[in-house]
Amino acid sequence: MNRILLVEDNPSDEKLTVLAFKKCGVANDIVVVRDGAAALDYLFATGTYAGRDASLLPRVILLDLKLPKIDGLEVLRRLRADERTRLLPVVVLTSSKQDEDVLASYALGANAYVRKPVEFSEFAEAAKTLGLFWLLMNEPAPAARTPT
Amino acid sequence: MKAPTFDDIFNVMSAASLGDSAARVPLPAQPDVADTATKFALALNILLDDLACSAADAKREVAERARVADREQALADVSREFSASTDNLPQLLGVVARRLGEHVGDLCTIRTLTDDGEWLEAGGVGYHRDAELLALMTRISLSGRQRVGARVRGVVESGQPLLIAKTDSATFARTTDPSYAQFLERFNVASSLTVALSCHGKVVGVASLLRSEADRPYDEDDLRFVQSLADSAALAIANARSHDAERAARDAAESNARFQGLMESAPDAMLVTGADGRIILANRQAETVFGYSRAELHELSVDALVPARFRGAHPAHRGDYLTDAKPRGMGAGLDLFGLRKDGTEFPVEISLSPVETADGVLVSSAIRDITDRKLAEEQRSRLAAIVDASGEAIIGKTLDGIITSWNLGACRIFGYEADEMVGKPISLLLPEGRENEEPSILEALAKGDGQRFDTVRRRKDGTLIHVAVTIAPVRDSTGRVIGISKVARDITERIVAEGSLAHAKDRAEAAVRDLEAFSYSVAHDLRAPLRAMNGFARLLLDGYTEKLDAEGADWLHEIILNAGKMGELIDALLSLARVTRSDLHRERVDLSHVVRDVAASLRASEPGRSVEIDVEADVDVEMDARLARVLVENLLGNAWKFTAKTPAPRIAFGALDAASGRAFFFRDNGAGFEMAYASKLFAPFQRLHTISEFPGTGIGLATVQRIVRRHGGKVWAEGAPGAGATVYFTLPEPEPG
Repeated sequence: MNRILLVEDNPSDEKLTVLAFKKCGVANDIVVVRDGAAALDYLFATGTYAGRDASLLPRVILLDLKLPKIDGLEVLRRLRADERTRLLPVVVLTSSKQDEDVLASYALGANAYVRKPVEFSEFAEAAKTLGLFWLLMNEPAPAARTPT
Repeated sequence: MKAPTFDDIFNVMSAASLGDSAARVPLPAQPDVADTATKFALALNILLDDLACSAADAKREVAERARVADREQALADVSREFSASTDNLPQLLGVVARRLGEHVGDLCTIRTLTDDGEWLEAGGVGYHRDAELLALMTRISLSGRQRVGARVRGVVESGQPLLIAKTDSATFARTTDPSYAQFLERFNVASSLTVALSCHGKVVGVASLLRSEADRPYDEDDLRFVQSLADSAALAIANARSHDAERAARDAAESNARFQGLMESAPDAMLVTGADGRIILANRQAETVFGYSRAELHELSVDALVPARFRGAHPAHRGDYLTDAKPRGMGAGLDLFGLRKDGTEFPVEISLSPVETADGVLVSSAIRDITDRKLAEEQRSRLAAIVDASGEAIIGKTLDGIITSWNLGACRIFGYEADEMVGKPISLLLPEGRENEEPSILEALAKGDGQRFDTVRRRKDGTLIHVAVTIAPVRDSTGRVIGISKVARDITERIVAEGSLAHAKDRAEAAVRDLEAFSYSVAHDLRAPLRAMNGFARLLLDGYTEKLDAEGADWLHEIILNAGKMGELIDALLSLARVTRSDLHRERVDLSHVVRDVAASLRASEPGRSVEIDVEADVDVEMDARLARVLVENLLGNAWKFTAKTPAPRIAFGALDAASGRAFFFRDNGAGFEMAYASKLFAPFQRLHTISEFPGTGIGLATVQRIVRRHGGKVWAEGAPGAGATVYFTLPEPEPG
């Protein structure tokens, strides 16, 4: 199973993202969490995700920056600080392309930074490219490899 | 009874011979008693007479020898005394008078004569063995000056002595001054001897001797003795007189030298002038001050040293002074001027005093050149005017903090008048809680340290004001600290302004923070709804095509199109905001390179277009590299966009020298614009073309203008419809440092 963890608080964006992935056939296994705290709980199998097998990690995390509770940059920082998720691919997928946001993301170890286009056809194209790249082409680091 | 001695007999004989009546009839003559006895007595008498005569002769001869010896001794004594002492004339004459009195007797007086021979000078000397009698003589005659009487006149005129062997007081009184009458009542004149004291043929004095014994008149012998002593006295008088003359001459020379020295040592120019104004004496300072040599000054009237405009009245002023000559300043209260040889004038101060001389009243003038003092006074009054005109409070105070001066600025700032504050302690200005400031200021100043500080003081009306204070020690010419100067400036306005400035800065910073938060929110939140509008419209259009008629599909397209435009607007606004708030990092940027780079992007974005882009090489500028790129993207992007409908599009970039310095330009041959609207080009959201003609947000040139202005430059545009547009901008070199 090729899991994508989508961290997105806006339901419309979530719906559009899932639809965009569907259009290119990679929407089969997308897990969605609505805030930064939930993302961390999911990944570290804590809180509401306490029963989950923490060793099962997604192939890629699509991380919005402006999030309730714990924002995207803080989530990224904690992931990179933890041995289990240090090498987990994280793609920042957000509305902003402010220089400071882009720089901060890369500085904290983001693997890619993608700005969500307003035009849906462009958005769908971006989703397709991301799915192809991270789920099919990219070879994950051994420790982060998810059991198939 | 012892036998009579020779002396006893001599005494008796002498007494008899001297005519004592008792001695003359020593024995009773009684011839009728006894002849024998009488004869014996007569014989005895004769014998006795003979004996007495022999004895008297012998005695006389002895006495005569003794007298001659005495007189020779007296002459020797006088010579000795004269050689021992030559300068005390009264004493020498006194010696002569005493010797004559003792050896010739009875009264001897010696008087000196005035030059004209008319007067006997005061201070004559005399001798008589009776001190009381001598005192009387001295009092009535010798101590005062007397007319030469008839008897002495003959001696003075002839130079010959006058010996009157026999005379009497009454006869004598007629030949002499009446003042002698009192003396003659006590002294019986029997014989007189008057001898001239002559020197080099001139009679300089008279020695007079008077004897009261009628039987012992003066004789030639006496005369010779007296004459020889008189010659000695005359010589002494002549010596003394020549001595006096020398001394007088010497004294006069010394006094002259002293006067000249006094004049030379005077700090001022000194002139002594005659009644006619002629300069008689001048000192060296007078030469220096007036520029004339002393010889030249001696040829001048003092009037020549007065400027021409005062000269006419000057002789009259001099005359006025001489009518009431006493030491005083000249021209009281007037400004006086002197005139130098070179014609220049200078301010003077003059004091005058009369000098009484044998030649009449002279005027001594001390003239002080007060140019320096006048200059100093002018400077002082100028400084005082500056101090008074100053807007700052300038206050003098003692080392104890007592106010000594208080200018108009101090009146204005503190509200107290000078007469309210001078003499009062400066601590009156200290507000509550700052009472301890003054002692520490005074302490530091006593050590000579100046200070600058801002503090708070209280005005007369009780209000508190902020003042910037500079305190400095005031020193005397030796460097000793003798007072304190305090300059205070009212900085209340500045403090208030600083307060509002800080407040404004806080508000500006808050505004920037708000803008950042706003931008962040716009960037993240405003685009999401657009994305949803666009996305779902697109999904509807794609997934439900068969259920939509053409018009429904067109409307969905409108939704998608407008959501897209709003996205672009948001991006443009964010870009403009970033240009405004981001920090500038100036560096050397090769603008030509940036232009070529952006041109390449444009060509890549629209490969179908063929645009000739001419880029001048090596146009280096000093600016923020990121903003340089934004600038070029906008300007080159505009040119690219507005040449879209031009058959042979050309764009040029370069630099040229404009009136305001080096200018850069982007020129195109595109749509151009009406110059009437040139001022609207750079305002945000202002568009000169419809969206359907040329797409755009209306933010591009506003962004360009902000970038140029942030670099201190200017931006302007030229163009005409259908003839293309040129946008110019300047980027002044930043100020060093």
